[in-house]
Amino acid sequence: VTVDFSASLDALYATFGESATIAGSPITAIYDGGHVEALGVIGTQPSLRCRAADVSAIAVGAAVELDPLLHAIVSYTVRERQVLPPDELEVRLILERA
Amino acid sequence: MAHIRKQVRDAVVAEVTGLATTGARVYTEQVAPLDPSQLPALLVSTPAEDAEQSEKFGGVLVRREITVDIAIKVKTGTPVATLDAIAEQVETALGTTLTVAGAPVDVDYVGMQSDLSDDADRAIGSMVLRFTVTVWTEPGAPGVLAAT
Repeated sequence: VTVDFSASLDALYATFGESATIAGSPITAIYDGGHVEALGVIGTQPSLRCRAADVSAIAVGAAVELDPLLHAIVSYTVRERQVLPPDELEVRLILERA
Repeated sequence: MAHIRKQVRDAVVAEVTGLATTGARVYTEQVAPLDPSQLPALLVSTPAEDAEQSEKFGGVLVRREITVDIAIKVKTGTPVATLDAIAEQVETALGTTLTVAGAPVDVDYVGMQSDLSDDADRAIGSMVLRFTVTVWTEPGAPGVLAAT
């Protein structure tokens, strides 16, 4: 049996994805804005889950713009790239407020 | 009569309230994590005290060395510079003496520790400035300043 994971990803991103602009190029990504506490201060840890093929050329420091209809804060930069296991078809971009 | 530690804390708060960087965001009872809207902020606490019975002015008094911590919390793109800028204002505001119960008492700066975190959407910085305030109270009367 052959499973086409890329087709599953297409369905996943079609359902949960939103538009974002990274380094000037629009893509569909899944936003995660989980809350964190660090050094006695509450914050968020925003990240974008992306298809690896969409962000293969995106480096740390790239500018990210989120949809202003969905987010109060829209301008970020990429602080870290995490290639997601097990198949490395996705990348999580850790964001820092610009 | 409030305990001498509270009198010291109140005196410290009075000195560091209204700084250009932290304004009125000075807290003494903050237990929960701070919301970003509360930053930059100062947290004043008295986490420790060393005490001994000691002779002074021909009688026995309680000599107290009260540790005063002032924690600076910031969330900014330049946490190191911001922490140092606030520390400069805090140390300047406190000076070397503090008025407690109408009398001047010695304040000694004894050091600091700082830490940074990049776990959030903007860097978070924390710096704890530590001071020692020495006061004398009557035995059995922890709210009565007897000497400085």
